[in-house]
Amino acid sequence: MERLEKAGIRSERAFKYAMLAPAVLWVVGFTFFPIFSAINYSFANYVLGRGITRYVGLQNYINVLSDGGFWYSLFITLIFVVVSVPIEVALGFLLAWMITVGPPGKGLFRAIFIAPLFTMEVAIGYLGVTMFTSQGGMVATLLSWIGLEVPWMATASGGLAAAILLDIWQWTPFVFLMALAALAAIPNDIYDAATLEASNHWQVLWHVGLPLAWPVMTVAILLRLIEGLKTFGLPFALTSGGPGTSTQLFSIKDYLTTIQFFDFGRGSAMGILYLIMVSVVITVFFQQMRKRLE
Amino acid sequence: MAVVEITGVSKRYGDVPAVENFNLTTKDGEFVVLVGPSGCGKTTTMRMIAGLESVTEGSIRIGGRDVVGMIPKERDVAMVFQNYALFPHMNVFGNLSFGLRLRKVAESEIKEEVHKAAKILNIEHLLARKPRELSGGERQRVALGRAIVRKPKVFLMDEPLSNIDAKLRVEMRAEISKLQRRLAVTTFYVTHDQVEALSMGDRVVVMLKGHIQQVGTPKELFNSPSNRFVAGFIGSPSMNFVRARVGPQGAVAAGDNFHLILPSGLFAAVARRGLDQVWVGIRPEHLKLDRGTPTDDNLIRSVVEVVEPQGSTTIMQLSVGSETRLIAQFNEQLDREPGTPLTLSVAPESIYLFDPATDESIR
Amino acid sequence: MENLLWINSKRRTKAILYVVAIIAVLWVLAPFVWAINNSFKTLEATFSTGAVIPFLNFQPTLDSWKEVLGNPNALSSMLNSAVVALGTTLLVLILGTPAAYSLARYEFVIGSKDIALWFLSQRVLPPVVVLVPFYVLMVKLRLLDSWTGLILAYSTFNLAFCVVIMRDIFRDVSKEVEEAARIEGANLWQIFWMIALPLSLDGLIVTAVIVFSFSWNEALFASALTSQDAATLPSFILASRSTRGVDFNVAAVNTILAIAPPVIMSFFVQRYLARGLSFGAVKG
Repeated sequence: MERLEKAGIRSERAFKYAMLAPAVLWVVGFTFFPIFSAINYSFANYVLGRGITRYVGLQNYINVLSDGGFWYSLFITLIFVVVSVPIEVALGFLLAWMITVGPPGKGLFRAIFIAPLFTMEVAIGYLGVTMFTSQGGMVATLLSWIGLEVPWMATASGGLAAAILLDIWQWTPFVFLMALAALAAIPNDIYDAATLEASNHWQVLWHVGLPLAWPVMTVAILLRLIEGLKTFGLPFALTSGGPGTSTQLFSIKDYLTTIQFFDFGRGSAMGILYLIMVSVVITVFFQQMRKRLE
Repeated sequence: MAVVEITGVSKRYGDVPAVENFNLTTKDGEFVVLVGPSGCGKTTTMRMIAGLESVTEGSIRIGGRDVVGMIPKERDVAMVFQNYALFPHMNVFGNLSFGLRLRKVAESEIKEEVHKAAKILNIEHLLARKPRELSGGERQRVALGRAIVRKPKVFLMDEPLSNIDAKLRVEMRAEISKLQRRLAVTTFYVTHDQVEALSMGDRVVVMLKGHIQQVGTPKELFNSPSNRFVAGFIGSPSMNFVRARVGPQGAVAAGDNFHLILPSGLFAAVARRGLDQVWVGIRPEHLKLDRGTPTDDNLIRSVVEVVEPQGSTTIMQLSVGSETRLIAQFNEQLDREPGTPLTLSVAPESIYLFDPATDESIR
Repeated sequence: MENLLWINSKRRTKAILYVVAIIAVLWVLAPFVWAINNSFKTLEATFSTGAVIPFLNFQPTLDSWKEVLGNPNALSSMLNSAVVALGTTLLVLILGTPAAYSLARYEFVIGSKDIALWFLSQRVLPPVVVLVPFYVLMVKLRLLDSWTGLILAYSTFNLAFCVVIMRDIFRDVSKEVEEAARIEGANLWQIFWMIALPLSLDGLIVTAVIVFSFSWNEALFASALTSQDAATLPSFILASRSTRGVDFNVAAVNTILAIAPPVIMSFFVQRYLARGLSFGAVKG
């Protein structure tokens, strides 16, 4: 009996590791390795066609840190995230509440509202050019009806604003979806108990909906923050970082450095620096959220 | 304190009726129990009183005011939920003071009222705790506390004891009854457990499929059920029903082994209705052992199938003839082997009859 | 069951909620309508006054459609996108689902929190950081400008998704059902293949849709790692933008081609979407 049992336990162990192994190997091979490789390149001088010619220590890093364009791109990225994420979270949550409280037909609304999440960022970005351009663009035309003229594509702030608007369009549904699920997870009788005492649904939202959905909302905020800091496709297709380099988000700048100028060493250093900065920001943010939860 | 008048209230979801024509007027401070199987409409009715469900038809007046159309807050009712519905993110004090806080009552007054209520329910020592740190019984008291703190006109309780284990339940039943009597607030109490209904209610409303079957005191429901459903629902073990032919000479019979002589008044009632078949209802505790003569024709001849000793009483499953089964409850410790014959008799006044077409009781 | 918060709202509140819902729907649909509109218009019609109002003076023409679809690059890029997306989805499911099952059913030295943390850290890494290593790797493996190259890259980025989502789904599969199968004589692999997997079909479909969409939509690596043969749709669209500039009609057609597959797929996975996209944080 014992031998059979031991054989059973052994085959279970074999199974459990065998199922896990391919994925783990893949991750080690394709994630750890490339990161180390990137670090490697960041200390090197890479010439197209010849590979690494020599190691230059921290020179790449110094070049990046002394490049005003690098800091500018961080600044632009920061603005992008600081403006778009809170708006997405607020809008997404409020909409989710209104739909939770509100009219029947939630399923249909949700189905439509989710569509932007699945759209191709570069396609929307390119479409965005036609929407925000001052000649015949949809937004420009609509604004002209109320007498407003905004130089979307012609200026840095205009371009950034357009990118932010499109990002909000695309990603608010994400927060909406999560908030909707979080609000739906609250047991009905807790809503009932609150409704018994409340004068209107805002009171129910404030006392019950928001506090009980908050843990999930922190995850939503964190995820949007993480993704927002990496944004590439939509702004790149919209403005290409222009006019000039004025709307170059970090990922755009790094992309151009690497692919257009083939400066792999510098591109890698830039990426590693950004990774460190973002990790710090996210960690701090994460811990702040954890504290708030308790 | 208020009188609740429910008149002609119906609730339909589209074409599907949940409650039909509910009529009831309570006395001030009365404890009314709504009882019935799942889906009978008892909870829906209570939620309509609370304002958590809209009313399709009819009117509800609390303390003279028509509340249909008013939001729950304006009705001044309080509710205790089956799963307590305590706010998990607030501590006990927060839960208890919720209603008062929303009504912008002064802080000092809130403190006073909360402590008063907590004292009555013996939960003062728990005020700082969160619901997840409490036991089931403690949570239930907090739920009760939340209801009484506001001193509402009506208490509504939705199966508050369903999730409590049997032993605690008996204790809590008595406590809730005592509490209600002390506070003298008109109370509606929903349960599917008829034992609970009988032991707690001043009046009991038996419901089935959205319709009221009967309203009465526990005694009235037990002694004079108005139809077969109420007769079978109230009382444990449930009443036995035997389909019998109406015979001459004021008797009913089912096969050779079941022959009972009815009291004259009852037989007259049957004759008046011109029935040739009836449902005979006999409560298990009314079946008596009879050592009567073999030719006596007011007896039930049965065979023992299963014997279930219950401590000081004994329940037996008996078969009569090939088709009929009876449950009997004897007030003594009785030993019989399965398969042995048993002769039973019934006191004439303990025989209930029901019309086979309408299930109404025949009196 | 009626929504009681709705029942108890005043009429004015209800009106406002309806209006907000309608505005939200219009806001979401606006770019789609704009694209559909423009894709069927001639150049002049696009700039005529009132062109913004959809379907006003609508004389549909297929010119732009023919132009784009007549371009062999467009068609080949769509084919490439489809192949790469499907390939990635398959590979990710094959690698990730067994791993997710193992993590769901068994104890390891690392705990739940660590897995969540690992996953989060995967997301924090900006793809551009590993652009160079992947580029060089593809050069070395001679997989530059190939389907395989992209599939390898995309699978890496999506593996974490699959593992985290499916692990959460597998944990919901009743252990008792699996034990019953065990008693009937099924071995561990059979339990996975014949019991756990079929019961988790919904989760698999959602994961597949999410991975497919990501691969279909990805632009950064697509444009870096491909040039002619394996250029995917995002690559094509970026090229379109730089060569054609502000071409209203072509942009519109591109958009519709690009968004149609994933958006249509999303309609079918409504139920489990919240769970999938939040990586298990909420049970949608």
